[in-house]
Amino acid sequence: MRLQVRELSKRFGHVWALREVSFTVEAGELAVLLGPSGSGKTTLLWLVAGLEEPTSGQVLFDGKNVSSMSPRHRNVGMVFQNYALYPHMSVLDNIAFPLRLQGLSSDERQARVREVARMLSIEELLQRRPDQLSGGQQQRVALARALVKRPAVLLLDEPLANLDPVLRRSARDEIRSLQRRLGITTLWVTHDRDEAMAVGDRLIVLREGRLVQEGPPTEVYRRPKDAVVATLLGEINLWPAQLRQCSSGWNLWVDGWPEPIARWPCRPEEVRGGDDCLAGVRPEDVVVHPDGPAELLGVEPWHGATMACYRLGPHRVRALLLRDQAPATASISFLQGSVIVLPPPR
Amino acid sequence: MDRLRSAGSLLPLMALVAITTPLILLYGWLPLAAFADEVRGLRPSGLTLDNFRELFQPVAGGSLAEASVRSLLLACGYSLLLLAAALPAAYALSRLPMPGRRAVLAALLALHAFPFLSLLVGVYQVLRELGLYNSLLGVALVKTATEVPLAVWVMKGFFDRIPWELEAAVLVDGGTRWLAFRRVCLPQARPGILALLTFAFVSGWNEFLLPYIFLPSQQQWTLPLFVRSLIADYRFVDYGVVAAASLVYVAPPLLLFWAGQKYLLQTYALSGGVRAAR
Repeated sequence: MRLQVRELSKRFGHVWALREVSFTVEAGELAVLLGPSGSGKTTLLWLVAGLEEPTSGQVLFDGKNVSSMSPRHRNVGMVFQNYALYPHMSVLDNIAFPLRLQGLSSDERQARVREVARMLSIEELLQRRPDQLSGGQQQRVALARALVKRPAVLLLDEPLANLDPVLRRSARDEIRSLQRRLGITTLWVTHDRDEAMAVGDRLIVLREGRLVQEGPPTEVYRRPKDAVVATLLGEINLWPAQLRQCSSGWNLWVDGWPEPIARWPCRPEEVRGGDDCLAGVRPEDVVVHPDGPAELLGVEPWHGATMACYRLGPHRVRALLLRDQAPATASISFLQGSVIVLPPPR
Repeated sequence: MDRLRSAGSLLPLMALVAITTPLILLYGWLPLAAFADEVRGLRPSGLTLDNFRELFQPVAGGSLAEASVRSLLLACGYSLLLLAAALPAAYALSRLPMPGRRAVLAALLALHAFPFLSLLVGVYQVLRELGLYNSLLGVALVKTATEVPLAVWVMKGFFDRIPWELEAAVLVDGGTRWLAFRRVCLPQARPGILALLTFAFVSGWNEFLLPYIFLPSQQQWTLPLFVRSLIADYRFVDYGVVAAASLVYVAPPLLLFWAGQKYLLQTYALSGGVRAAR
């Protein structure tokens, strides 16, 4: 089912939690809502579920406006951040609860619960109570309860936040493959960039209640709209820079660099109203050659690789090296086409 | 360290013993005197059931059995009325975003602190108007009105502890708000409800002042009034009979407290603002 959000705004008292957010998630797609805490991610999820009413704007399911529809008529499945399992019911009753409310017969309920329990390998937990489960098991039960009614939209509010790191990785892959297999349109809220990059078909970045950027994760990573999005998605070198026109097009100059660090045949659209801007380069796009003007300041291990920090004139350059040793002095260059131009910070 | 701690807990313990010993001795005396043949001074002797036999004799002024039934009716009726009034109010104050919520909460506390006796004349007038003067229902209603503020506060504390996501989950799962209240909030607040019921029952059972004021006729007497009449009788006071009546009077609260101590402790912890560890 296709999920559309149109100019959705939500105000709590005098505070705008969301301002005119619009996006579309195609049927079967998984969209990740990424943003720091307080950026309106959870509010957006609750609005889509119908647990809050929008101040203005619309939520559409397959083109149909459901904004004023109560949650129980929307057929959404939701996993809450604290899972919200019913503490006084067994796992079986928890998962069967939505089916019971649909008025399914006991046989049908049993069959559906078994099916979803098998899918999530929690069959042996059905007789337990939520407080007898580990965090990972609780998460699976919450997911089972959300999936058992075959929802049109699946809403996941930080589904991995309460898991330990090892479990987080496997749970992430599992939810992702399950979502693909079932083809459920899914909104996944997170503040973890690795999670966001790994699972999303589409990335929606929120900040202070506004949608900052959306697109496929790699595209947002490669072409972030501004410095904040760029740093939100991963390590990046940012230097103040200037655009200058020359005979063959536009050059990007960074102070203290002997030559322009990038050239374009026409002026990049990102920079408006002046020539000042920021130049950004991801550490993995920095190429380090032994001997040169750059001095090594330090190294740190980085997920099995090495993050080296160099000083070049007034700037610091972080470079990701796939070896343990970093040369003490180096000359620095960048991979072709890897330099990002960003508007100057306001 | 250990010695220090034990010395530290010894002092309060001694104080407790000093305060409770006379009470415990008196309660210990009750069953002895109740089954005693004869009580001279305060010293019981012999063993008999006569005291109880005499109590259950039907008399013109009503027997112990009738008074007990009326007390039971009052205690149960009052408990249910209190619960019926306090539960929805507490849920609303805990959950629904309504204007003036804080003001209502503050007003409830103020009401709780208000001395009830100053309203006596007004309440008397109202009961007369409603035809509820000299009736158990009238007493139960008045008692409910005086106790509702505290009950609402205590129950609100229990509702506040239930995460809102639990109710939201019911709504997403396809339920209504009412269903969420019934299927999630009530079971989650069960300890609070049981504690409230226990307290209310005991308080209704023990209530002396309101029946004394609003139940003038002897046919309406509840147990506390009956016991008092035994002591204040024009005849000489038969301590054995008084003790037997007191024993009947004190038994239900004792049993209830014993059965419900787990919930009662929780209520104390909550109303004191201390969150019980989950």
